[in-house]
Amino acid sequence: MQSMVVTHDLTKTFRRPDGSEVQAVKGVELEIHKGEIFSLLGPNGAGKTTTISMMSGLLEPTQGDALIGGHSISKQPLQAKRLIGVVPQDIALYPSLNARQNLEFFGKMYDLRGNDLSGRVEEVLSFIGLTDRQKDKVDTFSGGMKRRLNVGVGLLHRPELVFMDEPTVGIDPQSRRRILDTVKQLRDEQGMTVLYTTHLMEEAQELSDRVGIIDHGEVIALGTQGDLIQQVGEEDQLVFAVGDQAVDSGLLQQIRDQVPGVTRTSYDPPGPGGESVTNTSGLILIQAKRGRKALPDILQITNRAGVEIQSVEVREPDLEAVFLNLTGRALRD
Amino acid sequence: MRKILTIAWKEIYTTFTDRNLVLIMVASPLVLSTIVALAFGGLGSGDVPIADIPIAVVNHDQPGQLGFSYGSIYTSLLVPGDQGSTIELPACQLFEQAQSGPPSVTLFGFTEAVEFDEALANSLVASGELEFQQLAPSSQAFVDGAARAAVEQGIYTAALIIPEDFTQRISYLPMIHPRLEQTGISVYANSGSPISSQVVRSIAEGITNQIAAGNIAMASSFEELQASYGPATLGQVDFESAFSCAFSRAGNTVGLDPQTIEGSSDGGATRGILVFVGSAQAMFFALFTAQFGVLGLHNERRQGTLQRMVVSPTPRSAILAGNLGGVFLTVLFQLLVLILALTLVGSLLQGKFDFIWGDNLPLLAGLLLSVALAVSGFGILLAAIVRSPEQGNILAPITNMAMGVLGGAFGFTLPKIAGVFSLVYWGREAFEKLAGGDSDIGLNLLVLVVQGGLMYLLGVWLFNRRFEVA
Ligand SMILES: Nc1ncnc2c1ncn2[C@@H]1O[C@H](COP(=O)(O)OP(=O)(O)O)[C@@H](O)[C@H]1O
Ligand SMILES: [Mg+2]
Repeated sequence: MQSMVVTHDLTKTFRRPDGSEVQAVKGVELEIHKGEIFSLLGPNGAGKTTTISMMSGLLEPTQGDALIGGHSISKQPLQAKRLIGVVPQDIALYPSLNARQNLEFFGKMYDLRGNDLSGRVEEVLSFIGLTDRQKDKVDTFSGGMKRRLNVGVGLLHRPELVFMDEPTVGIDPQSRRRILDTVKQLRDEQGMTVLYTTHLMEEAQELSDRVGIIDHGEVIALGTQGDLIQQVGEEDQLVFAVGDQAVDSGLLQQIRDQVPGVTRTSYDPPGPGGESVTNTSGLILIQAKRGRKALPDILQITNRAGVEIQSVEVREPDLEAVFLNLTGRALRD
Repeated sequence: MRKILTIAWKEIYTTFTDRNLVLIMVASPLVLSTIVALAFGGLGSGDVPIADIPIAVVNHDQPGQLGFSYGSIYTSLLVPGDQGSTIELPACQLFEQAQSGPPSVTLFGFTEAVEFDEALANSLVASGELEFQQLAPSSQAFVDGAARAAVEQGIYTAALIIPEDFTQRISYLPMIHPRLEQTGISVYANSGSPISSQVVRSIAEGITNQIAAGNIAMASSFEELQASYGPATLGQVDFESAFSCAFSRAGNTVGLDPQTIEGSSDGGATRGILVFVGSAQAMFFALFTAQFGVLGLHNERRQGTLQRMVVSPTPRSAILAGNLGGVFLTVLFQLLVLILALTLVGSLLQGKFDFIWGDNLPLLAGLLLSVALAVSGFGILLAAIVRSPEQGNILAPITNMAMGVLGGAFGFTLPKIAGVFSLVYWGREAFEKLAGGDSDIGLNLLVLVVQGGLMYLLGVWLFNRRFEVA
């Protein structure tokens, strides 16, 4: 299999104004194959954007390098950049220009000219469904339309490789659906390679051929979804919602010691989180072989401890479970 | 190269399609300089820049009983002697204890006032400069008539005539002259230059009022003295000191007697003021254009479009060059539009077409290029120094105001020693010279280009060092 992206020891250390250092990305080694959708899955602050920024030549790596189609992004930046289309996490468009002018301007930045340019602009406009609104200024667009144009600009020059950094953040379900379909279309119909970052397990699960799980700047697992889930084994994940009741570590210890099949317990307090997980309630997360069988025993223990269980969910092994297994935390934080 | 042009064009396009920006760039300076021209030049008036209004001061005043003449003091205030037109007065200690420092009256700018006496009148007539005939020379009427004729013929903008009994009438002398009387200084002004004569009149009025007020103060104080100590003490009063107090009070008893003589007009004033204020205003506002243009890079970083350019196969140097090129061209275009628009305003005001910037077009083009370079260089430097657009928005008006004030963008000039620090000064002076048919602007161009070039280099260097894209 041919590789489109190879990173070696990719590292970024930021220096804060107060002099302290943040190691945002630590020695990332990745290989992305031609024609695949590769997801980089990790919570906020894991280092996804920083990684993409280094691969696209926006940030200079503190250490290491990335090869894009064989070209070093630090030594042959122009050749490497020609292969890449970038869809940034935050919308990056000229608000005072209309949709068409935005596309044309950035098209020219990728050396598209004349008929070639206008032809591509038409194609992209219809692809993102903005042909009717092409003459309207971007600042009159809805969030979803801006997102679509933001994606469109990154696809204009038919890049072999597309970097999409959380392209669905903060949009309505329809626009999100549309973008997810677009990503699959790019791979299936145009043979593009896509590096897709997200903190949403479902998106990674739906899209990816292969997944890299990133946490605290390190890729902690990498492979097909099947590979990764196999690492967790046959274990189910039990999720107990407990609202804002306090859960002490003694209770978790008790469950681990007394219930057969339980391999791991953790408590995830209520707090801000992503869109897929309820974040209004504290969660007790338990991994157990044959989870359904362990359920009555667990409920008995919590009952005795006076913790009222509001809902129970039994999850078959998935990427969330992989993350939990590797980090002891739910993906949402 | 193509991409540099694409980026520059985008810069220009976004600037000129922003209605607010265009308003600031073109409309504001145009409106401001038109207002100034209307206010100071008047419609179709004949005039010269305010700073050097030539005035003839005719002093007939005779010293009063106390041996001094207010008229002479008045004249010495207006007519520059060896010390310039400044007299310093002894401290006013007589009636006001809390005076800090000696009061002084300083009149800057009236360097063109002369004392117009019989000798000067005769020499002007003799040299043929002044056409004036009078049957009975060597009389007051002869001197007054000659002064008026000189105003009519444009030698002076105004003539001030101080009457013979000026001191007499406004002096307070217990017993002899216990009551102040109405008196008048005549101001003869050329009606073709209303603003200049207005300036002369208000200055003359100001001085007269000071004297009169002082005398009223003296009068009332003398009356108090008299009441307390009786007439005997009067001999001990220090009159020099008393006089200085005349300048420390305000009041209004002596009126002016303005008489206007019809004069010819040639539109010189409107033109002069439009060139003066207009060019300085154009540069003042161009400074903002340049700064906001370069600060645009900060905005582009914030809105992510700069990052998009950086991840495209476009070298960073091309991005910066495109932005700076766009700013330079925008400024150049703005200056050009203003030059043409001010020409239009000047022509409308005068009722005939008048290209107010002189006829040396190649030099004018060179000057515009140099000014655009200097102005945008300053913009780059400022944008490179600040950390954020917000900082820029605070700093820019301060620096530009300073540049504008020093350079004369608000209708008045500061001494040259201050002006030389402002690129607006150098540009404005060159525009004025060209408009006046003087093509000796080599030094101005050199200063602008060198200043601009250095600021460009320093600005770009700082920018590369300090500006982080991501
Ligand atoms: N310019 C920067 N300066 C300092 N720290 C930064 C900078 N950019 C990102 N970071 C830090 O690096 C870490 C990774 O950030 P990021 O790559 O944006 O994560 P993600 O995209 O996965 O949410 C975070 O801790 C973030 O605070
Ligand atoms: Mg991110």
